[in-house]
Amino acid sequence: MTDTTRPLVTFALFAYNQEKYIREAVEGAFSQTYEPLEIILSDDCSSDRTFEIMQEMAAAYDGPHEVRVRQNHTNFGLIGHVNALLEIVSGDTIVLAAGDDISEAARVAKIAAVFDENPSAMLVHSMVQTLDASGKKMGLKAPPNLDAHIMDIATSASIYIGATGAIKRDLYRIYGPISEARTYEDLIFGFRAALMGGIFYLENPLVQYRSDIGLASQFRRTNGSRKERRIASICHRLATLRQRRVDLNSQRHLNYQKISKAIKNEEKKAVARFQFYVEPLAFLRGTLSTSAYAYLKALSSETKYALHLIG
Amino acid sequence: MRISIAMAAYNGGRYLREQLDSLAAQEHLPCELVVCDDGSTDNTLEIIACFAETSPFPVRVYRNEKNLGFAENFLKAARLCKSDWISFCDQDDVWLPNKLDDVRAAIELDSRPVMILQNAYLCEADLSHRKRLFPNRLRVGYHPPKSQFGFWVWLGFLQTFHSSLLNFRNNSRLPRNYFPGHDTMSHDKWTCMVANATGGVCVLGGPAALYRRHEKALTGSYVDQTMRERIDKALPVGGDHYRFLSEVAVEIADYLQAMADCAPSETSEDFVDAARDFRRIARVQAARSQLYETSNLSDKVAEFTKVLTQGGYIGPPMISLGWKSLLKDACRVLGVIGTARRKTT
Repeated sequence: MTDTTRPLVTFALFAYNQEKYIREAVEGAFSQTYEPLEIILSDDCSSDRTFEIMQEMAAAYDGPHEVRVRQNHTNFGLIGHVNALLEIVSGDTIVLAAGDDISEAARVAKIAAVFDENPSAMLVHSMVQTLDASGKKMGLKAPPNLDAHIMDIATSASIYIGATGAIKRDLYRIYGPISEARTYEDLIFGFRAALMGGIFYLENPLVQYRSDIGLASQFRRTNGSRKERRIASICHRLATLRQRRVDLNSQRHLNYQKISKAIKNEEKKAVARFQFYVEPLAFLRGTLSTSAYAYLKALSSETKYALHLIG
Repeated sequence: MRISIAMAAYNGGRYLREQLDSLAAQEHLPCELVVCDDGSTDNTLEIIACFAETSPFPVRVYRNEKNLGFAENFLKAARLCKSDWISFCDQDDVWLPNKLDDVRAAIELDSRPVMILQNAYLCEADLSHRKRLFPNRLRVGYHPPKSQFGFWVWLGFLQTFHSSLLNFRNNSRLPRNYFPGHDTMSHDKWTCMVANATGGVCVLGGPAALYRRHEKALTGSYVDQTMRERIDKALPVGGDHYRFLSEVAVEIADYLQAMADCAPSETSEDFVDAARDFRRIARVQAARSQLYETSNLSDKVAEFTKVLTQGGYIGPPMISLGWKSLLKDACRVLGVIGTARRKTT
């Protein structure tokens, strides 16, 4: 048997209030051809039947993979959910999947092959086949800026398509759990992997991806008034930059000074934007301070945004 | 910025789940939770194990072989934490989601403080509250070293301190508690004492937690007191209590002196200074106890002058008692307040 020489991989399915799509997502997980595979179906304390459906399907499952079903005791949110799961996985390679996307049967096998060939690989991502809400296949989608430099990634707001990611557990072990609850895991794992020079891309659509709904929909970023959404989005940006700064500080990097400076500058701008909405007095004071440039930039972009609202 | 949480668990099963869930809901998640169990006999350990199964951060549980008492247990848990900053956590409160994020922001803004202090809403057992902040006794902002009175304390679960404070903890027994009724100094008084001696503290405004005062009604320092009630409470306190404080101050001074001998030279001086200040507190309190035990006018004036010249009323913040004590002692000298043992009912 060749199976015993291959490493164990964990397929982690994150679900939250996705009863409509969870069946297809779980079927995609069960259909994986790679062995040995551990499948963890994890629910973030959904208020609908997501967890029950996963339990039923796991009980009825009769196949080669080892299936575990678990649930958080309370709703942790995306980051808490990812941390909780990475604490308990058995494999050194973890393929992440969302509860509303469908993984192709060959997804894990193809990803595992990349990790096998490239010992330096820390993160492998791929293209997606987009679906509309009814499940009809739309076009293929590739992530933007495939050959981004670490300096661009440091301040990037999207590194790869989160739903296609697979990571080495070392990204969690070395840098520790993510502490900023308001960021997204792909923005952090992407940066950590880039720091270690270990991002690899597969030019195959390995995931069928619903582009108009997603795990992100549980955040305030998509509902509430325009101002609230803008503030939530700035808080998200700030949380991401802070987490990256902490990660950068925990491991020395050749370009440490430059990356750190780039992140700090972006942070200043984000703080200025935050103050523009929440603390106008602090914003005014900021425009007179030494970091006036960041404030002017924030002012110009936010007034542009405000004009856009009127126009 | 990484923050660890140190929890001392002992038969706290009743509200523990709620407390743990509030840690999981933090906007800035802690990097770990370290629990030291002091031999609980209820379901405390099961609740923690159940929480650890799905926790969004690593949870480490240690069981003490013998009962340490809560003060030593908290300090043990704190020493087992790995990150630079540590928050104490009780087993019956609820933290608001912003608690650790506020601390993080404060630490990043200002590198001087070694301890961040927050406030909490005072709540009934069911967490209902009237938006009263507690302890709310210090101005919001930075306070330099030695700016607090020697016997000061801030609630443990509202402190986040730098782990370097714990390096000064040696193996000698903790000094006696300056609140009568408990035998040794509690963990939060110890951290406050060390923080006050070696570095500044930073106080944050706004609520950070819901502080549950269960079973007991809101009593003692937890209720708003009128001036009249405060005077009634302060009057019967006399010579015995001051002598007790003086003895404790001597004990703390010895303890700080022992710390100075182990500490590296730059902080060693801070501890020597603090030990000297505590000896001055001891002298002030001894003189006060004499003042309340003698009835001879010239003796009373002599003791009063002794306190005054030591800076006991107006002087360095670590020693001086303030104008209210001055007023009380002046009344005593003039004979308005009788012997200490007389009960004013």
